[in-house]
Amino acid sequence: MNADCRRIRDHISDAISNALPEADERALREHLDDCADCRRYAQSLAREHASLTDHFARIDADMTARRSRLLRALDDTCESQQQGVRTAGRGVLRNPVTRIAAAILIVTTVLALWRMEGGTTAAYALSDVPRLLGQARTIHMRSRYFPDGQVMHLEDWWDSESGGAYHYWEWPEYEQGPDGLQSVKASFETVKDGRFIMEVDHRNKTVRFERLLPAEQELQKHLIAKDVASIAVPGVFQYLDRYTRIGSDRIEAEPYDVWRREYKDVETEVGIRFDVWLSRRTGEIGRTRSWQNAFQFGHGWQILSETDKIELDAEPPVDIFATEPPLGYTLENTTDTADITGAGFRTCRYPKGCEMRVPFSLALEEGSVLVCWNVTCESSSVSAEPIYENLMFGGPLPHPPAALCGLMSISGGNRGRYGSVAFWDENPAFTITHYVGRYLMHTRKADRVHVWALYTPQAILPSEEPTKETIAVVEPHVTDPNFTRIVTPPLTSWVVTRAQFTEYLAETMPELSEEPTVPYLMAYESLLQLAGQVRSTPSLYDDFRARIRTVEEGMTDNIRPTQTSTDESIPPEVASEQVRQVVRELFAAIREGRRADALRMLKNERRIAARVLTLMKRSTQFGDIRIEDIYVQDRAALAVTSGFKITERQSRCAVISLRLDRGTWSIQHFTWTTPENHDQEIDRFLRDFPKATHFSEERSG
Amino acid sequence: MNDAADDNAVQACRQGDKAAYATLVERHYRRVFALCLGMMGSAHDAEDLAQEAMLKGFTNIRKLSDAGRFEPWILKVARNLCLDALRRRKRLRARAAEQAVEQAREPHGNHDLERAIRRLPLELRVPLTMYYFEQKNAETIATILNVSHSLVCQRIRAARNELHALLMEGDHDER
Repeated sequence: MNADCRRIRDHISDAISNALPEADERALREHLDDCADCRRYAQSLAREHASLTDHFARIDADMTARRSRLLRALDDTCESQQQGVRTAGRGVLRNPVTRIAAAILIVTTVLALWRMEGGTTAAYALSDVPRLLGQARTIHMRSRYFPDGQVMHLEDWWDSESGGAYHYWEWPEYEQGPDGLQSVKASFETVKDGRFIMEVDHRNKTVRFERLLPAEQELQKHLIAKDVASIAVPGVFQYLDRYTRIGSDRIEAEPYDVWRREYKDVETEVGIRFDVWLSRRTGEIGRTRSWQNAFQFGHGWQILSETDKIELDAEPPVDIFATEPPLGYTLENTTDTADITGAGFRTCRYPKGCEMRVPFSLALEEGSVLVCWNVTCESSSVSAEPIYENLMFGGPLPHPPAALCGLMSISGGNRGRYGSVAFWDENPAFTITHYVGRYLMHTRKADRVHVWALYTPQAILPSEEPTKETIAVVEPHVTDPNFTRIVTPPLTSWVVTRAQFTEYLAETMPELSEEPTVPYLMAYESLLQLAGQVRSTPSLYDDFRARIRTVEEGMTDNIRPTQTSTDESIPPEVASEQVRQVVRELFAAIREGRRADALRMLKNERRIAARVLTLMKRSTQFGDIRIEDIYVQDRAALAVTSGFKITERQSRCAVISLRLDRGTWSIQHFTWTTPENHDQEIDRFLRDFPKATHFSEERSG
Repeated sequence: MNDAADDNAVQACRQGDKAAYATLVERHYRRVFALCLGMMGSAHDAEDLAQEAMLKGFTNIRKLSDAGRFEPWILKVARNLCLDALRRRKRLRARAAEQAVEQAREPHGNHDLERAIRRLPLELRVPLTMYYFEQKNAETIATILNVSHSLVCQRIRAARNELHALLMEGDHDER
């Protein structure tokens, strides 16, 4: 490039800006005709000009949304200022819009603070998912399930402010038509507006309503984020440390980390795998997939389900949470005659022809659970014997065709609401607590008989959570020999103080009883006294255990340690030494020019492996690189090296994460960072593996 | 810019009229965002800082001595926040490590362009953003930045050249 070219290149830029005088334009054209280099430069600059215009236009396109977010944040600032000076602003608090703004401000502030502290590459990990979902006002999820080769489409919307929820699912069915089998679409909708639940069967064009009591309406709101987190990242509350980052991927140009949890049932030889795409930058889940592998058939991994959209704070379609029945559908009941149901217990339709509901339940602070349940049955299932006679406070429970005979809770096992009993649970270390049920009273309202019962654990179990997760033990009492099995749906209850208990009960009683006042026997003190008596009668617990022995045996049979988890429980000291060996081996392969070996070890980081090799090989201090820190927890480890120069002016240290699989440690992720900055990588690891053991003794390469 | 309208809105705002501040947001947010975008180079950072500046403007509006000069005041608030953020960024030295990792992983696409814009020196990034995002001509940019017209033209030219070099570097160089 000569001096003429340099001058002409300024002209090219001015021409793009339409700021080139006419005389210079001619000179430019003549030069470009003769100079291929400048012609290429002009073409590049024109392309870049178009890209820049497009880039800034995209940013501009979001301006309205940005302004709206600011105005919502402003709303909240006003609210907090008003609260601060204790003006008459309490009404504002009740305004859902300002409450939403508060939630949004918290998220925005946290993000802003984070960006201020740490730069622009966020570091969201799976452990952030429950928090992010908990902060979202709305959640939108779209999934597909693949049962038996069919495709089932599901769509869900939740609104944590109102407790609104929308669930749609459809799948193809076949029925006999005039020309043989024909495909028909079966679909259902469940719409919750916070108070009413509307179930719509589009195939039969029927609609049925249910209603939630106030305490259960609040419970429903509380459970939304928890439920979605369990669906999005199965085992997020108990098996987070079993997820391993297996690589990265892009969805619509956004980079995502891909995390995987995998285990195998030793008895059935069936493997289960969950993959989650998580954006490090935004914490957004871009996709989830679950897989199954029946190893004995050799079919490999087969997909079970896929969620391709989990949107937070998206605007739901208008009226999606409205419980307005579609025109032309048959109403099985109305909102006035709706059954009362509970948010913490899914309807249990067992044995055949019967339906159990739990419209209300509360957990006391000492661990006992008060449950109000009812059962409706087709007349053929009901015995002629009187069910609700000769019952006494503190005595045995009645025996309708289905009875909630007791509760269980499992610690260390599957605590998620979406596993009824931990059938697929890979955790071998669990303990079961039994809750003996005793009759308190029964009430009648309309055509329902509600049984009120207290379920007491043998030990006092104060709860640290706002809700208590238990498993209901539903026992059939019918003569049909096909229905002798005990079933165990999950039950979630609010944990309440003495004052809240009294308040909730007074509020609920008129809804479930013809007699609106709370009987004196249902006082908190009476229940505590009864719980004490139950605890001091061990035979009650022995009887209960004997009745549910088959259930527990089934659980014990099915909850097996996976092959991997038994094989891989090695002491951290041993694990750290193994990790050290692996990293040393990688460095030796690089140093000795065994490129194939090094690439094999970096097979999970194919995209940057060649660069790692080049840079490390180029380092003049390569021989002095030390493994300074190792962190180990279960099957995950992190190794951090000392700093080394990659150019005259730049130093880096390597942060290497590893995973133990079938007894072998393999490198999952290789990251460069500045020596001053490697703490961030360690913090990121410790967020996922907070119980990691730290080893920091090595001083020789 | 309508100073009298700003004056009225600021006065109303001082009396606790939140809606009045909403009109100030409507009128000035884009300019504040553009300034932050030019200084930070990233839309995410710009949004955070512009929001912080506007919220700070609301809480501190009583400190504004001349109610008719809201725009220069809020731009100054935003500029100071951006400078703080840039200083913090520099201090943390996050850039080099982040770029090394990102460059290794993201060879192409719009991310390259955004990253290249972020790597431009501040004195080139600001006029470039004003030119493309705010679609201002060189003369207006010169007035706003209080520099000569020729210097603005020179900086836009230099910004394009530098950007071109950075993008080419991304294509060819294996650092």
